[in-house]
Amino acid sequence: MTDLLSVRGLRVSYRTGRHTVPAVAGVDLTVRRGEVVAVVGESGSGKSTLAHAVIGLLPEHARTEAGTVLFAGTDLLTGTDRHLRAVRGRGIGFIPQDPVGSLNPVLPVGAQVAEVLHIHRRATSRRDALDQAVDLLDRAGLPDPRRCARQYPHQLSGGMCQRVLIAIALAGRPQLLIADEPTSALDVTVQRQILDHLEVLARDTGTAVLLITHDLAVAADRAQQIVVLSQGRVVERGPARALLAGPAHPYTRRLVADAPRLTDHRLESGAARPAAGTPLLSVRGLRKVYRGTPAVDGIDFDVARGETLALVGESGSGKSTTARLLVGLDPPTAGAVRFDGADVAALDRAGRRDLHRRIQIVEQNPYAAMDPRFTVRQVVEEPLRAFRTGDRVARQARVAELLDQVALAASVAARRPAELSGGQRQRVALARALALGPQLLICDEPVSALDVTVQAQILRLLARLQAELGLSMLFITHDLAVVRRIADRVAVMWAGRLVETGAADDVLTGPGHPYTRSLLAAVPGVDRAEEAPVPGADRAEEAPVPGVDRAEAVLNGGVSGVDGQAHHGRSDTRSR
Amino acid sequence: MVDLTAPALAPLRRFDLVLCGLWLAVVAGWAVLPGVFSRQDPLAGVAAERLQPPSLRHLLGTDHLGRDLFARVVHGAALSLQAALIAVGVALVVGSAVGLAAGSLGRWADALIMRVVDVMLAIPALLTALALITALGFGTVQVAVAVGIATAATFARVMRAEVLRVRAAPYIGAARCAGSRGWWIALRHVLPNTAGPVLVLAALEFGAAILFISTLSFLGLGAAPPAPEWGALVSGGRNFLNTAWWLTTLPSLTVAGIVLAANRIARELEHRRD
Amino acid sequence: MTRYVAQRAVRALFVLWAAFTVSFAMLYLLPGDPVSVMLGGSAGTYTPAQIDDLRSQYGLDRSVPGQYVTQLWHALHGDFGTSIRTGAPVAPMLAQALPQTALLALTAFVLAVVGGLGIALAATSSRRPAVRQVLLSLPGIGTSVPTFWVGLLLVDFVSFRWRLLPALGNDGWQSLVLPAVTLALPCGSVLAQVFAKSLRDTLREPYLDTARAKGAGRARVHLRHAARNAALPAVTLSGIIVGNLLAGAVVVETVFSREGVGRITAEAVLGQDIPVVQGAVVLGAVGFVLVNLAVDAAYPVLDPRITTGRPVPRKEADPRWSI
Repeated sequence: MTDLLSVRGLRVSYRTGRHTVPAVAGVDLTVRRGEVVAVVGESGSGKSTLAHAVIGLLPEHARTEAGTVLFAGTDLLTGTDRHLRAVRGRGIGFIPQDPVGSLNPVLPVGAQVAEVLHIHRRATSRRDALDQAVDLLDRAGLPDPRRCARQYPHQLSGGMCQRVLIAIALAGRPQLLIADEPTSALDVTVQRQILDHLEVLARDTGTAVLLITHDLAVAADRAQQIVVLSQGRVVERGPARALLAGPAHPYTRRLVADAPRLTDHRLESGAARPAAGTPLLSVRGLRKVYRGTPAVDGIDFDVARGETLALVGESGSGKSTTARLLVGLDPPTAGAVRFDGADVAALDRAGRRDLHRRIQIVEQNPYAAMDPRFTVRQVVEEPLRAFRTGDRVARQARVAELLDQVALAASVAARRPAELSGGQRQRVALARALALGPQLLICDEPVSALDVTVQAQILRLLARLQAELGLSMLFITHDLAVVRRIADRVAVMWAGRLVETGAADDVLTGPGHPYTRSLLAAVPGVDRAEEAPVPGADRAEEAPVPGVDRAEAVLNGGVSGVDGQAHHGRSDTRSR
Repeated sequence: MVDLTAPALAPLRRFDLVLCGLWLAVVAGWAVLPGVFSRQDPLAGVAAERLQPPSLRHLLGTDHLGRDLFARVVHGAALSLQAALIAVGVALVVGSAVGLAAGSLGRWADALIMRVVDVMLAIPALLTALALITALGFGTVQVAVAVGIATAATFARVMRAEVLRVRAAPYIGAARCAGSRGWWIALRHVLPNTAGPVLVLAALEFGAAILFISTLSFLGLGAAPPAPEWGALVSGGRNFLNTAWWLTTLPSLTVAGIVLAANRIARELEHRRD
Repeated sequence: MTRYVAQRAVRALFVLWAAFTVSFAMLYLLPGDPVSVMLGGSAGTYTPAQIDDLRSQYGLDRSVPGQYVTQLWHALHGDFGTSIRTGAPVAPMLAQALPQTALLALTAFVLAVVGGLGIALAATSSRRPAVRQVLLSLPGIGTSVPTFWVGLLLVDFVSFRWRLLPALGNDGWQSLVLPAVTLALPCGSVLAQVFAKSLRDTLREPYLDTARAKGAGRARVHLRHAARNAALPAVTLSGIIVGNLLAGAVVVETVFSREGVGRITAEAVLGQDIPVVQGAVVLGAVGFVLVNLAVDAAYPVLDPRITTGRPVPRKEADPRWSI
């Protein structure tokens, strides 16, 4: 008996109103002892549902319709509650998606780790349980575990919370660990450290891992076996390297092709190279202080005409704040912004309003940025109406033209944002931004909440539009692989400052600053054997990258959470 | 409150909604055309038919003066519903205006207004209403206005929260980026998006207002005696508690039924908004 | 921590002052002449001289700010004036009646908390949908039936028909049971609604999945993890609940003919006895403020996020309320 976990013909569906929507439609899956298996899929593929179904943690409106889940030879679906409870924690450990929300806010984390030991009678006394918990926290890589054990989740960073959850999952010494997107809510550098640590712990204890991820590169880095899931079905499976090298199924092939990589090339826009001369946008000494804490701490950069500058940084680095300052949604504390040669601060009311014709923004979450009561037509028409562009008929024609430009069917115009998919919404947001024919487009994480295939489509669309319309772009992102595809130049932002600026090719192949290097090293899919080890890879998340502490402090100080949202786009697949 | 979201219960769920709607329509009918529902005189009694239990002739029995209780309940609907509508209207208008002002003016005006609202919420609504009635005097309209003002603070709070929520929403920022002007944003974005929750609250408060007003009327603060307000009917029946149960129980059940139905519909509205 | 408590205490004092001011505004500034209000329908039988006398006796001949300052000064010294109907000083009158009402409110509070939380917990942790549905529909009914009728119904059955407990008066615990149950019903129902909703929301939180994934049983998940977190919004309601228990005493003490602050208030309103009504309003605010202070003191123990730095959006208590 080498199969630790064997799922056969599993079917799970969700009830919404009077309909039942299948989420998992007959999946077979095998995990052998000590093996790492990755389940890869886009949102809505059923990967998270599959993980939850295995340990019986489906939400109320989900129903397991058929199949067996054999764990160590016993079916968990037909077994008793008591049996299932005995398996949870002791046989199977679970690491959830959202590290902060997955810890009880009113209990010290040490007690939450110790609870596993109490439940499964692995401790002789309360004292003993707590000592073991401290030991587990230590092994999970938390600095000063004795102190941490007494702290509450809100006193720890996201990465530290995820380490606590790893300690909880390993506390019962399980044979299988299910990790459901364990790092997608975290910054890339932290992500890498956590995954490294998890891999080492699992290998040392001989624990098998079922890793659920949307990221093919992560799966390839970490797993021996990959199972590709699409619309509740397994479309392809096989050894990680073989599958990645020669994907057989068209879906997998598209997934592999669309996944952004550092080895990519810039999407050919066909546009003339950026012209020299006066830059379109020129930022000098820009500073924004929230409640005494600088979120943007004196940055300088230019965007030339027809150029794409990528502003790269992790959450709390101040990149989204910069975007808000540039479009005038927040006033800067200090600094000068010149657009097309004119000082923006010196403009009068009418001049500032007129600036909206020339600078437009596309945000990460297009859904929140559209009035839920408006139709797509009204959304796209709003800027035209605001600037009294043409009469009703002319405006309607322009809306149709814009929708066509972003490759949306004309029929979409009558629908409301809630009825659209994430990619469609981002196209609508793009159409609205282009309505007035701006010269500069600021894109704030425009693709980070999207699945890779949709992401690739939007990036291609952006490149095409830039060529057609001669746009300049400021592209804000945390994802260096995306930068590779779209940017001419890169500015790396860290704790409110720019640490490195240069041509994309130079920065991405020969980074000068240590922070840029650690960012690059953290990108999954880079062959880790050839790379230099990340400085202070493990347990280092609080110290070696000196900015993270500060960046988190900025966030904790409550800097409007603008940047904080940056990486949470992908979290809750269960709610779908 | 009942979670009837199970698909199997869907027809049942619609059925009980329809029932609630019909029942409220009938009660509204009592208020508008009482003569159609009861031909008996609500004020003049027949001495020979005193304290009769419910029968076909007197659906809800008669009181100590031989007046038909059903006629009194039907004719009382106009007074009681009118009072509830005034109360909710006053609360909605005053509360929304105050909340809108607090939410849009911001800064010290917001702080000042909300401190006052907090204090209004700190004093129990019944005591506020009693104090207002002491000053305004007795009567249906006075009671209604007092209840309205006493509950206005709740509306102010919800309205302010909604205005702040919507104003902070990214789509307002997007509208500003699109070059839309302040009045357009207020009219086309803020107002329509705040109205929903406030109107749902108004629906919820309607049932509460009926209960509130009947309580004040029970305490003897509403319309002068012969007028058949529901609360006053119950109060009048107290003296005959152990001889004529119907005098207290049946008007009370009517009130409870209306409040239940109103709450049921209000919760459905709330549910649909979510 | 000291700062936290000090802040709350200052806020409490502010609320008391403001409650006094609001009640003054309602009673003395609204259109209508306080003296004719006090004299009720009999104003016509007094000569203008007598009315002027009354005016100066109650200080109503002075300017409004002057009246306010004098009244506030007196109130600070525990003097709320004298009753217009009986001529007795208001403060001792209310103080004398307070213990009975406090006892009633306290008993009702305990019943409401135990009953309300109990029903909510039983409903959400029940495995049977039918039981859950029935239990969850009870609070909705509890908030819809008029309190005065519940009181009358209890008197009719328990006292008159079954002769188990006395119907009226203030003698011993037997006479306390029915009024306390009546008073507790609407408050307990609201508590049950708030707690049940909060429990349902909490049970969907990811950290409960973490607890289940540890192998925790139903009882541990519900009691150790869900109940404590879900109780927070219900706890913030306590101040409003106690305020409303004092207000509800107006109705309940009238129905059961009990001596107490509520009955005094009801009679004062009927007699348009302004100083007594004002005293009662301020007393209601005192109850609210004291309970809120207690809640504020207890809150950090229940929720560690309060005192350890980071501001956490504390769930606002739902101010919707019906008596």
